[in-house]
Amino acid sequence: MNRKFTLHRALLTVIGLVLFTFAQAQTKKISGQVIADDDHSPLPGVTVSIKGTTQGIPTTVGGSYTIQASPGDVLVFRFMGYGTQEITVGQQAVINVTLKPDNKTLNEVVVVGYGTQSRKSVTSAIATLDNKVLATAPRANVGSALQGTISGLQVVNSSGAPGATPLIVLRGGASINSPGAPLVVVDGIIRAYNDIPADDIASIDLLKDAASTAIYGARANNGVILITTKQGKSGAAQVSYKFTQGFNQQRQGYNYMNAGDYIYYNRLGNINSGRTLAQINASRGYGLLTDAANLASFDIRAETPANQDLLSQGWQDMEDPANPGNRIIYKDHGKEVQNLLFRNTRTQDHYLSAMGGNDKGKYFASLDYYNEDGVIVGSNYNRYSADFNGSYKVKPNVEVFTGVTLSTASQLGAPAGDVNSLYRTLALWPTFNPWLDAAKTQPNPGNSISDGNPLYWLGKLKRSNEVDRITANAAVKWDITPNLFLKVSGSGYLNQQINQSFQQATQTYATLFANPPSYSSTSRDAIAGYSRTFQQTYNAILNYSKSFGKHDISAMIGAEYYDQKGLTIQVDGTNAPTDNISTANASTIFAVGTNSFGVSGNYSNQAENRIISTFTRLNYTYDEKYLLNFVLREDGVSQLAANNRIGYFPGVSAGWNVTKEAFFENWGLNKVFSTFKPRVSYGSNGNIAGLGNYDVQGVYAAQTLYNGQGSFLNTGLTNANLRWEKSRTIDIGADIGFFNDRVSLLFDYYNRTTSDLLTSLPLPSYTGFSSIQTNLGTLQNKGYEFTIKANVLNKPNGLRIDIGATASYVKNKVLKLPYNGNENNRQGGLQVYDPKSGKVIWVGGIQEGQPLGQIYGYKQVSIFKDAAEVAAVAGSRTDNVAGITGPNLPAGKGGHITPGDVNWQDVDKNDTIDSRDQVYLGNIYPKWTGGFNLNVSYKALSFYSRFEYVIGNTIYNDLVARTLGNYQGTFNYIDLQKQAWSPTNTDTDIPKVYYADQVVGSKQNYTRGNNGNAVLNGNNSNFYESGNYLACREITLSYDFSKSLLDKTKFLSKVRVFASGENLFYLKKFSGPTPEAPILNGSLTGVYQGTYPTPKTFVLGIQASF
Amino acid sequence: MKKYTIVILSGLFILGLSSSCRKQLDLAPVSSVTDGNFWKTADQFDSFVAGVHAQFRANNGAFQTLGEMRADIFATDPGTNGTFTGEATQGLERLWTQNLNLDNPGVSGFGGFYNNINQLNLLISKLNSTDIVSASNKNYYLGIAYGMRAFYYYQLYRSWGSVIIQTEPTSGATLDISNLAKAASPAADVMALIKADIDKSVASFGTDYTFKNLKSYWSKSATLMLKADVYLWTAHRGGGTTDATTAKAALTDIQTNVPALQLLPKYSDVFATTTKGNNEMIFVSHYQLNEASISFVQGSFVPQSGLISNFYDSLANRQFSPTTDNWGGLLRAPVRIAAYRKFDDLDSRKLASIQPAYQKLADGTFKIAGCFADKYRGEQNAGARVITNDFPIYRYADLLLMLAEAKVALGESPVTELNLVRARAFGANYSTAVQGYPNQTVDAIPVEAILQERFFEFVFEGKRWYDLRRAGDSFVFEHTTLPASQAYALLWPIDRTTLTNNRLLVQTTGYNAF
Repeated sequence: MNRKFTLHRALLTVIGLVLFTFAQAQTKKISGQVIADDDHSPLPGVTVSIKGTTQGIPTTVGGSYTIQASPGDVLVFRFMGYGTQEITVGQQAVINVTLKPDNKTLNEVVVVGYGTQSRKSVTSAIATLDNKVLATAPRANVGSALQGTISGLQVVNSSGAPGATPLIVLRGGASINSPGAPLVVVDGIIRAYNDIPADDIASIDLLKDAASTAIYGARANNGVILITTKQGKSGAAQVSYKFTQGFNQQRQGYNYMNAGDYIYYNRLGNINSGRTLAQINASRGYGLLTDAANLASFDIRAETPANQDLLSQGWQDMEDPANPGNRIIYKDHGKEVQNLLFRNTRTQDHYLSAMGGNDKGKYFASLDYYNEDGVIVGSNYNRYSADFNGSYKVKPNVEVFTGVTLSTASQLGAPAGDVNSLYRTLALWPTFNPWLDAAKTQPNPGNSISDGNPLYWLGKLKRSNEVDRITANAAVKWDITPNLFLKVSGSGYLNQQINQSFQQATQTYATLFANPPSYSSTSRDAIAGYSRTFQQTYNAILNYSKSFGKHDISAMIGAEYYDQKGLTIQVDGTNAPTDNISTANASTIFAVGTNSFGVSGNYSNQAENRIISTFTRLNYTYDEKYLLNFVLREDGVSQLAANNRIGYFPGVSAGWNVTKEAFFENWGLNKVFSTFKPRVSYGSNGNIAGLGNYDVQGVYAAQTLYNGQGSFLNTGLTNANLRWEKSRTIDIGADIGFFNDRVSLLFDYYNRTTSDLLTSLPLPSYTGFSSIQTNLGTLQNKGYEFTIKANVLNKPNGLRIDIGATASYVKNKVLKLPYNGNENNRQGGLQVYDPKSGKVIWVGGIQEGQPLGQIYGYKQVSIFKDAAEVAAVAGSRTDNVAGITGPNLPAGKGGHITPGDVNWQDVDKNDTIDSRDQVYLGNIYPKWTGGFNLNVSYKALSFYSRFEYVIGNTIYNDLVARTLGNYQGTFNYIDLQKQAWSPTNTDTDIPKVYYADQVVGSKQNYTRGNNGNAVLNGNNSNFYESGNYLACREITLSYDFSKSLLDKTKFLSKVRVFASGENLFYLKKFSGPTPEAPILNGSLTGVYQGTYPTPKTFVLGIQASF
Repeated sequence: MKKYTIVILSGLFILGLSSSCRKQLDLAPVSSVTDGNFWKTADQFDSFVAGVHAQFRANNGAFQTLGEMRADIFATDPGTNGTFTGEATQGLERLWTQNLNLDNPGVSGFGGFYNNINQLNLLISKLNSTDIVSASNKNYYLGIAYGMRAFYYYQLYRSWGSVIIQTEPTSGATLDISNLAKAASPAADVMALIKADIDKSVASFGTDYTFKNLKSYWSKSATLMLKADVYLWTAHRGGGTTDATTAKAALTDIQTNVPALQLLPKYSDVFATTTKGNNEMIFVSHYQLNEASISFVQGSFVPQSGLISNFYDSLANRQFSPTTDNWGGLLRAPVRIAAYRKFDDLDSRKLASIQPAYQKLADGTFKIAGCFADKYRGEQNAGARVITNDFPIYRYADLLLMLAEAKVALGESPVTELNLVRARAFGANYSTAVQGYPNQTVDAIPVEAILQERFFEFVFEGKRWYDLRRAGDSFVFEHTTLPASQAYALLWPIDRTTLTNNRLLVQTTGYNAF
């Protein structure tokens, strides 16, 4: 409920104070009580002042006040989070005041870029975050607060690893194949938001349409997120401390088999695939290997009278399905590795802030410490951050502002990487004993970092990571005349990262138990990487605003210089003689170029880019009824060739406050509508993200050494004709308030056409280059957005219920692609049979007139129950994908179709299954995203809950297909395999168990013709799952201690305790632990390979103000 | 009025501030070189020549796949779908089972060869228009560029037949992106280009027979080896004695002008990491520790250190050890036991090329479980094996056997050359009466004798499939799993992406286009 505190408003106040100073005449004592309108409790600490004077006193703990005033004076009651009230003193001696919470969506102050504006006068599509989202949960990354809370944004958790940055896409993205993120501007500085503590944030605003983003011109076509941090305010100094403690719990994942089932199904699968007993027994995990290393690491043996005593030591035995009449004795280590990999952890957040000021100067300072251990062992995020800002009026009309923020953060991920941890480590052989000793102190390395005891590898890899961000800014604002000010600002942003890692000498179980023992690697790679970006921005704006009768004019003109310099340095040494020194100074080899691990080795790199801009904005309002806004920005960038580097980005928008019209009241519409403001906007903005600093100049890049000689090749074509991407957005919307704005609705329809898209055109192979950037693509995004807030109940007894909801719908379509002569200028894609037209058509890939992200694969009709069904359905079928045939035909390369194999849909009914028999299975992009919240408060107690939903996307579950399909050959299965077809279990949708589904000779029941790569298209339809979900992101219960109690402490002014649950549950169809659309390298892939699951977090917190 | 003056003046000040900075938008890169400042100095030419060799090295995997993976060397034994060590064949089995199609093309995008062809085109065009490079270097580099380009087109010709001919460098300034489709040229035109490039290369080298960089730079001898190879191919396809004579002349040209070339006494020394640039090598791709290793060896041809340690080397009566053997690979393409057994036990090439692995049975006897490639052993470094052997493209044994082949084609006796190779292979065990030509059974058909000798000599050097093809397509049907009924599959399919990106390209005849 924080009231937005902005410079704009502060200035007005100060100006007001100066202008209306006059001497006091006769005064009398006025007293009264201030209570809150929402819960009717007394409000302590409300500033009561006489308008035009500097006098001001705070209300007592009981909300009462006493002040000397004369009749005709105006008393001003001011309290953060509540609307300011002014009351003219008359003859009365008691003035009681009820302050209304300042949470009306339609009254909020909106940050618009180089300034602020009241929501009332906004004519473009701007969304503002409800700050309640930031109030409670400890957040490593504030990006997660945007999930489902701002319409028009899709925010996807890329990973549940602590500190992970979510993927943020505005209105479905503006690009065909190089995804861009919204521009983030924090207090005027273009920078990452990762390190900003949620409690430092005063407001988050999102500029969506081109008319609002045009002010940021060339970088804005993916939207602009404006983050404003808290600033000082005049009044009594306030010190506040908040502590939150979170308990993170791992999320239930797939259930893997115990050792007995594991051995049974794997050995059976091998037999089903025709592997020999010798081959089966030579396999890891379920084989019966007899060398020292395997005997020491895998608890599985052929049962003999000599080892039967193990049965009394926790071992079990079973019949060997591959060798009837023989028994296998084994020990079950299932779930042991899983329990080592996952853990329950804690999050801690301490936040301390102080603010205060008087009519001349103001300050704000904060310190934050955040620490979170990830639920996967070894992962951690911790951060220290500090913010100090202040302002001072050096002259009555000159004010200086300065601010500094500092942060240092460290983020470590799962040592084996997310995908390998989730796929390989969890599917590890349950016969593998992760410990070398009975006391479980020495971990067994297993076969590699992802195929062994994670604790071993964690102990061998020394990692550290540090990201330091420093911003400093200073500004001078000179009120040249009351209507005209000049503001000159400068800021510097230093972002430096230090990554160090040292891999100690490692063993595998094979080298550990070799005679003599040896190491699997002693290269002892020591890497120290440093990268630094220094960014400078200088701008000057001149702002003129004036009212002429009913005409209000506000005009702004500005110029900006932006420069970003980057430097990266890496030292990569190997072959140190000792494990004891973790830095590269002990290394003996510093290889040039790529080292034996494929890590780019030793280098330093420097790059720079610049943008020089001018911009202007004009607002015109007639009688508060007709609103007109015009924006124009001119940008010149260094990344483009000289003839194309200047771009112009205009935006125009208009609105009509219908409620101000006389007829509105005459017709009685005002009884229902308190606000009705239709608005329309049109504008254009640009983007060159994804274009390297010097790409258009043609690149000759260094290649690997050749016999010690440096080498160069031409790796990039000159491309002097490259231009800006241009997005043109038309946005039609309305701000509507009902019943005195108790219910508010923001609605937008938009149509964004991005043309001149920086589109990568795959080149024919003869050119020698794989692709070239062109400006030839055009993409259209259309959609609707709704934001609704309603105060459902507001009882005098203090019960209050509020609800809010957002919903965004987006649909994309490719309008134009570079000409390549194919139909629809198709890139990629595949040919399938279209039953409607009876022809083979091209689908998928990227095509003009079609949406992005279409999925095609083979439809599993059923599993063949028995030989009779095979003969009836597929007697003469040829499956060209797996090279198998029906019983009436000679056996194919992979044999015959047998019971337990998949009955694929033969779309073209030609008795041949091939790539033409694929069908449409969905789309990787969601159609609807959004969220809703419910807020119930009763006196001091309040309940808040927040949900997020996604509808309409499909996810290919590669992890399940890979696991059930036994792609790796020796790993464990998830429980689902028990439902596999067998002669006694014929009614199922899980095929018969086989060894290594993807290789020729298998039936390819899971992956068809792509050799088990994690690709989107061409797999078994059964593993394409709905991505729809509803997530419970937050449930919070908080209690504000009563003033009477706090009064006894003499120093506490406000104490709040709360308990919260974060990410408590998902309602989902997706079978994995978390249903968020999978992301790789900053774009949605639609292929789930195993994502670090977002933990459930239970939070306890206390916040105290002094 | 004063107020407005201030507004206007301040506004002009702001505009002036920014427009005066426009020149500052010209930024040149610091850490890379652009088109504008390359080709300005002689050492840039030198580094570019090193670059095309580095790129050539990056194509070795494709050379090896195209040159022998479909031949009679690799397969899973005895006909199951996994390797004996437990690793999956992961799609490579499609090569030796002749099961390729546009989604599983074996080699996609024409092996990436056009990448380097374009670099060579650029090098040729820049060399022909520069005077910064010394005349001798210029001619040597042109010799390299034409020779290497012919080598690439010969790979394309043998694998896809008719392919696109591109002899001009791709330029960003002239690339017409609305007109990119380009059709393949008839195979005969490709062959004509290959022969023309060979002639240009020979002419450019002139009398310069020097080797550079431990024979890892293309040289005149390399061009002549290629020439012999190409003319032998056409000799078997209608070129007759004329082409065979040309081939023979190219080979004897090398023998005459580079007398230092000879067979090393010991076969395994030819490939050792310690004998780089040895007298047998004519042209190699260079590998070196901390520079580059032959990635396809550990990627597909040698087993995991842990898995192989369950097997035995019966001859040495020892179990494989993760410490000393330490292959550190993935065995996706095991050698057929039958291919291993084809070698004579006395032939030193047998164990220098292939490693058999045995199971030890309960009674203490050994049973062969499988085999894998053992020609490129690399070196142990920091606990790991790194395959740093040079990858031979042409060596003296190849010269001798091609000479033998030319002689057979000309009706002469191949005895001298064949027996030089055999004598070295059998070493102390060599007896002309037993192993010497024409005393082996296979010698009854000289062409078969040469093919078999080449198989023993060059296994894992990317030659077997091409050798069978050069001798004549019937030899492919005779020796590999490809039946005559599938003759179209002598050539390779074009992958889906390549077809999509160039609408004038058509699928290799016989393969499905969907």
